[in-house]
Amino acid sequence: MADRDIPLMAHLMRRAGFGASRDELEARAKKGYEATVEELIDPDAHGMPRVDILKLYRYHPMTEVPPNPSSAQMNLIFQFIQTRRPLEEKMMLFWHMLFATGNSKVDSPPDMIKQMEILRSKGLGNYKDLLLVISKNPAMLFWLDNNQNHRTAPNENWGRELLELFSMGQGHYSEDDVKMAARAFTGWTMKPKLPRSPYMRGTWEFEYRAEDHDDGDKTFLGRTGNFNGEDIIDIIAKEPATAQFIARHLYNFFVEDDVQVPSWLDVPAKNPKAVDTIAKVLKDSDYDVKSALRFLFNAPFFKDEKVWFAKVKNPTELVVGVSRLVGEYQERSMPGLVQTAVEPGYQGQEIVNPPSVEGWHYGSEWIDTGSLVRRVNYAAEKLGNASFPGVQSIIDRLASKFSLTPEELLDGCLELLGMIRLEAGTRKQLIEHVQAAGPLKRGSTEAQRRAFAGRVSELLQLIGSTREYQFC
Amino acid sequence: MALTLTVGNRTYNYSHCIGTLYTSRGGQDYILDAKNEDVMYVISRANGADVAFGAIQRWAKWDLEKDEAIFETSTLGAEDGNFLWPAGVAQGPDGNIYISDEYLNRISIFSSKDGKFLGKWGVPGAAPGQLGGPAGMRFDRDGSLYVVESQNNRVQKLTKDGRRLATWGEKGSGPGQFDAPFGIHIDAKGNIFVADWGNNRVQKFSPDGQFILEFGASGAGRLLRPTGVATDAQGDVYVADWGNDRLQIFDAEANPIASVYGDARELSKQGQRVINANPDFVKARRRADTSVEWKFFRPIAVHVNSRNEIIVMESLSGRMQVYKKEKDYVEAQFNL
Repeated sequence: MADRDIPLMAHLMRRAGFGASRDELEARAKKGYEATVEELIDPDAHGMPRVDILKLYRYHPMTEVPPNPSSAQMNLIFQFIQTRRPLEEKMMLFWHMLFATGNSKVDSPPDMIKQMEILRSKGLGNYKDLLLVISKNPAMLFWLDNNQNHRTAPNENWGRELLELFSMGQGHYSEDDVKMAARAFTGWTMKPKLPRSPYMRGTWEFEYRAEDHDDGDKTFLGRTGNFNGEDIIDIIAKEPATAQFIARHLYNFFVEDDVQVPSWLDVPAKNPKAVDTIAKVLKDSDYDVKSALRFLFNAPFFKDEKVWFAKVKNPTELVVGVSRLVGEYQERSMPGLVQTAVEPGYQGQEIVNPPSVEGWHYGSEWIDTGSLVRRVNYAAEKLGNASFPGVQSIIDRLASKFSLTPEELLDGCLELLGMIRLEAGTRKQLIEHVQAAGPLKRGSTEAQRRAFAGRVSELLQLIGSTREYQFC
Repeated sequence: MALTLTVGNRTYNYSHCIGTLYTSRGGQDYILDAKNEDVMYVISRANGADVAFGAIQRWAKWDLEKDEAIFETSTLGAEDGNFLWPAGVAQGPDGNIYISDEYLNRISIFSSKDGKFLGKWGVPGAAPGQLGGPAGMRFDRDGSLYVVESQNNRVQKLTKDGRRLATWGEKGSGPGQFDAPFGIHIDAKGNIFVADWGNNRVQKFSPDGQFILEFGASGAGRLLRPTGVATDAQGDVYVADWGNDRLQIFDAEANPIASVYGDARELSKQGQRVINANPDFVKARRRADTSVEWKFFRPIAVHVNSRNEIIVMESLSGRMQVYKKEKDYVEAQFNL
């Protein structure tokens, strides 16, 4: 195993998953980088089991038909934490951030969960297929008013966002194209819904109403015909801007934080060549997401150490990463799951409820004075709690070493937390902190063991509080 | 699904339904009052969270005839009389109501008259006599309490104040072993049925815990994460087949007889009250297809009363569907 294998694997798992423990990294490095990428992008072909969701529903019944957003977030966070198919969950998050739909308007957490399940089950499939399914998803139709897009009175909201935020990006279509797209999607709506009272059985189903569809000719992106919604998606997919736009999103999500989407028209991508090549793979594979991700994760621009720890963790990555590392809710769920589930929201990313159709602003915008305090407190509280199996395992591994200088203790903690890197200044401060607390004794009595565990968990807390820990 | 299901010489007629989501969000279990079968005690867990965001853990005494609460109480928390994960309810020979908490590992006791908290017992742990995930509970005729433990994967026979009389079971999938078991039922002969949730089967034991048979793990009538069991006077066995959203019926020899999926085409009294209170609901229901709500939605507990009525509680709709079984049914001999 080369020296770089484990740190590189750690980078992959931070980006394609929610991080990994040292044990997992070793096992994966032994298996090989490319083999790990294959397993991540095609979990079915590698026999990776799905989360046993009935184990959630047994102990938390109403998370199956969540009456409120926090119950929906419990449903999702449980799967983020327990999954053995982490890239599938990350892609669900990726698409949720792109096809941002909010419960604040939809007001139906069960319909939001249905949309998220589409993003999970199709997120590693074909983008064109996904776009079509999302175009028929009732939560999306309601969110962007397509249920009010009628033959006699078109509503342009869906048509506009489809082009601006979901496929091509600003600058590649005209105002007339928006109007034509809207006309093509008239009649795409949902069946009358059973009210959720009294039995919570009411979720939406898609319905196409031919009598409400505009059958006239439309000229869209230079083509003319009696287009329906499917035709619009076909035409969109043929446009080079679409592959570029999705490729830039993939680069932004997995490699390096970009400027916010509304600035993409004016500001070039950080690595235009990389985005071009991802776009080409997308186009050549007819929008196969697996092909694009296989290319991305194996590309030199992804493996380059310059992009390691260059992205600010989004709140979900931070919360889930810590929870997975400390091993909470792995064996079984507990009533406190709700606290973990709402935590990303407190840190600025309320899953199933993005602030607008533009989604969340990312990168350094995740950090403000309020969210930073919550992020630090969350990580420090969990990492400093030796009753969690993951924390105990770190303590045990360090306790088994023959001798431990303060530097070795810090390096051990950084390694076991998933190959974290610190800047020289931070490193110096932490070593001085360990030194100031006196010599490290392990010993065999209960009191000595407890004291050693206290020293380790305190250092884990401090690492979790560093600036560097905010990055992935 | 017809409102009447005839299989062999048995007929199951859908009768009516009771309750709404508001009766029991995330209902877990219920028990009919020993002296008045038209009264029940029902417990619900909502989303099983330790902080209230909307629906919370409750238990209620319910009038099945009027379809309304006699009393109901919200009970979130670890303080005395409260719950985090209420899982099973039983009525003691003293008439008191015993409710297990699968997370707090204790049994709380309440007055059946007014719901007053009377006491609690239970020491968390895996040693004999301790509790690890107490779920389904039933008293036998002699007043001993059988408690299923989902974390300890066993059944314990205890006195009503928690002293241990017998313990059996361990984790596994062999006879007498369990995987996160849930509900329990004791038939008229004292035989014990346990819904062995994770093993997708029901196990039957003699009163002293000897394994007799298992069923549901394969073949026709295959169960998915069963939660509740009941038997009727003829020895037929009813299983709340939670994961499959159906009631699975077996004969006394554990042969599958029929599957029932729910037939509640009309609203319960309680449900009708909810709808009548909001004209928008009334209008919306006229436009929508209601057939989805006829079906069971996570059936979790089942009882058969002395009138041969089978009462199935659905966890996620908070409703109960009542079927009446006609035994020895014979087709009419003339042209109707």
